Amino acid sequence: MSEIARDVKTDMSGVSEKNNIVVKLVLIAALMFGFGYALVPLYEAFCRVTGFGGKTDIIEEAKAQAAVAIDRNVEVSFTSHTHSSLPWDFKPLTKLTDVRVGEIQEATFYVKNNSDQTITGMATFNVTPPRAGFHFKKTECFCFTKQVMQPGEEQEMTVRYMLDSELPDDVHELTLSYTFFDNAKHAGQ
Amino acid sequence: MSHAATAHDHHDDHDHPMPTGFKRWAMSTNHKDIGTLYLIFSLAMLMLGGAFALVIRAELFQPGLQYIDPHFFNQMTTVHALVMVFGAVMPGFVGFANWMLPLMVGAPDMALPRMNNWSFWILPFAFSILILSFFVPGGAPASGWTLYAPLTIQGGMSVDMAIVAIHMMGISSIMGAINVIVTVLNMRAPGMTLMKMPLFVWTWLITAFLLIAVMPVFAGAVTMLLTDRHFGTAFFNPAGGGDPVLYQHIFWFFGHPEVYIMILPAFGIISHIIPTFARKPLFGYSSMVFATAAIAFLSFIVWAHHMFTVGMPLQGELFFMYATMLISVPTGVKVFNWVTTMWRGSMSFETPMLFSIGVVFLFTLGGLSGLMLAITPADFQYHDTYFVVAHFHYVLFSGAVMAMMGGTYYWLPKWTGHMYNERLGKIHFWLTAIAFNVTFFPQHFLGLAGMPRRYADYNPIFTEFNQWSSIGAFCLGFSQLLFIYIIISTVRGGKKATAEVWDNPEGLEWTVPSPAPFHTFDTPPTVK
Ligand code: HEM
Ligand SMILES: [Cu+2]
Repeated sequence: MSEIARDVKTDMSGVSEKNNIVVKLVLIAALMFGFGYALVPLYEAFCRVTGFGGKTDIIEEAKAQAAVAIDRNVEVSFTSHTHSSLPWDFKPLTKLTDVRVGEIQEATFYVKNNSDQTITGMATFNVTPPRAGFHFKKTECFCFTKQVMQPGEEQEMTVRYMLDSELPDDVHELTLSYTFFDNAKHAGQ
Repeated sequence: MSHAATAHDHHDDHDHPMPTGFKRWAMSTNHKDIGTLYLIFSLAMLMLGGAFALVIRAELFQPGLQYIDPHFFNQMTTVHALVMVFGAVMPGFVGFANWMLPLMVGAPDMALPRMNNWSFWILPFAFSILILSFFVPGGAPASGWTLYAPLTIQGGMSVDMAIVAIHMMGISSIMGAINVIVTVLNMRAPGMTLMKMPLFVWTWLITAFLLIAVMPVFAGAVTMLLTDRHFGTAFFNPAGGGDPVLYQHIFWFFGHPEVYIMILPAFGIISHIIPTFARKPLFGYSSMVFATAAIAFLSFIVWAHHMFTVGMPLQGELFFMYATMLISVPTGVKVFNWVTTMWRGSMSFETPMLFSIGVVFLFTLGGLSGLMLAITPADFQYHDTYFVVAHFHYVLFSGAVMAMMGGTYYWLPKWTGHMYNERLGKIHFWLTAIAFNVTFFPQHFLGLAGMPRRYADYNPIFTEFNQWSSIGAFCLGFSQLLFIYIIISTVRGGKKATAEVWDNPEGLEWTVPSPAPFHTFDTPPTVK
């Protein structure tokens, strides 16, 4: 590419001015490449702050304890999936609950590793309708960390959560969905 | 703008002999030769991409599976789009820029001639890699040209080849864009202020800035895909905590400005042709410049209209709906200006003018279906159906590609020194325009009736419209052989073209002889 450098140097007219523009333009291009990457944390932060995209929120146990329950009930249901390459059973034991807004609740899930290998799984989650996600506050969840399961091991995993009182009025039911992936292989081929 | 410039015979201070053969073409730093290379490359890619499209249309002539299996069908749709977007349309406009920008601004060449050579010669290699991917296990990429994750995290090695090819195409476009900007900002003839620049120069300048702003973002997105595939990152991979919807956001942040990259130079071309054949100056020059800039600016804040169905919150849907509709305002200004330019003009209908009127009419239809798609609740119905396919072919084929055809007829006499055969040109126009509408108009109905895009098979109730579409597509494809014939025969010979070619056209390019000599404007003309 030294050819290109020569372009910039050898031309007769306005050499330094031309140099300047080229350098600036290359810089803009490089910055925009960086901007593409910057979109990743920006998007994360945007979704966390606004609750867009059905992201849930985390709060401390003490804060959740301090919240006052109000006289409003919402139906919360749970669904679960495993990625097709992950040989685990994964199902909600708590299928459907009538939840009082502002009250701490627990839901339990059954997980079993059917293979003869130790596997590390990682769960992702999502709330529908998405606008309720922000008001679904978790104090504890197996989805925060990687889960290691020995061959044949069974476990019950819990999530502790509450619905905050700012949950939009028109939300009468919501669904929390979990998907377990094989963390080592990621999505798998 | 003035016509005071004179052409300069080139031999006075250049006594080196004109290079020939390999040396002339492979090592060329001459803007006209490189422009020719780009244009030939673009035409070749148009034919290749068109061949893929005919495979698609042959399969869709009837419901059920006839000729190819669904996986190969998906490879066809994917590679058709990649070849057309990055191989035919974008390099085509770069070819026009190379040929015409220096002639229009009165410069002896592009500002960075050696880089110009590089940016062209990268392309054949990039596309060879893309086409070679048909022959690796699993075949070419089959994910759609948008390369959505997580599907592309799973594909075979062809996805990696596509990523490499895209990086090369991206580098080529960025180099081309830098060259355009430096040429336009630095090498204009004395007296040519920014607001005296011809519109093709303006639209390309703005396009070049768009390219520099968004091609690197796309490069970033495919690099993230690559590291997700091979190096254990999890940008888009939900298993590692990534988010597939994030890919769509990044892609369309590039993708929407990209569609304007493909149409702004077309706007420029027809803004030259219409005044010439209406024999009136362009109506509303400065509003054209500002409308172009406004479109470019707005194109950065509408990307999520491609993603209305991903589950965005209501506020997001509303924002992107209104922002998208806002783009129709500057676009409408342009259409108004073209029509007003023709209003009460002494119009004549040579082939370039026919193509330009076709563009104004058919592009506007595409803009209208775009507006329908921009209505969020309606888009839930239309999204990923043939209605979208109809929309973008109206803006891309009858917008971008037909504008390039019109531009080819308009400047071919300047490039070759010969007049093309007007009768054949007109036949080519009518064949193209009619076959185009037969192909794509029925796709609106298919989409509204619910036929999804990117499937090898369909419900038999859709058969009739699909047959119209397939028949139209074959006519459209084969009509282009006439285009190639006209070009070749014009290069070979024909009536001698004068320097002006047309009836008193505006612009410095008409002050040099036809064919434009190898070196022009060695001493810059003065623009009053
Ligand atoms: C008035 C101007 C326009 C409006 C309002 C508009 C609106 C839209 C919308 C809402 C979609 C998404 C449809 C869906 O997937 O459900 C779309 C798709 C598309 N538009 Fe436009 N558009 C406009 C002009 C253009 C132009 C000028 C071009 C290119 C030259 C273009 C090229 C495309 C392409 C390629 C797609 C499909 C992308 C894909 O999914 O593969 N549009 N348009
Ligand atoms: Cu768009």
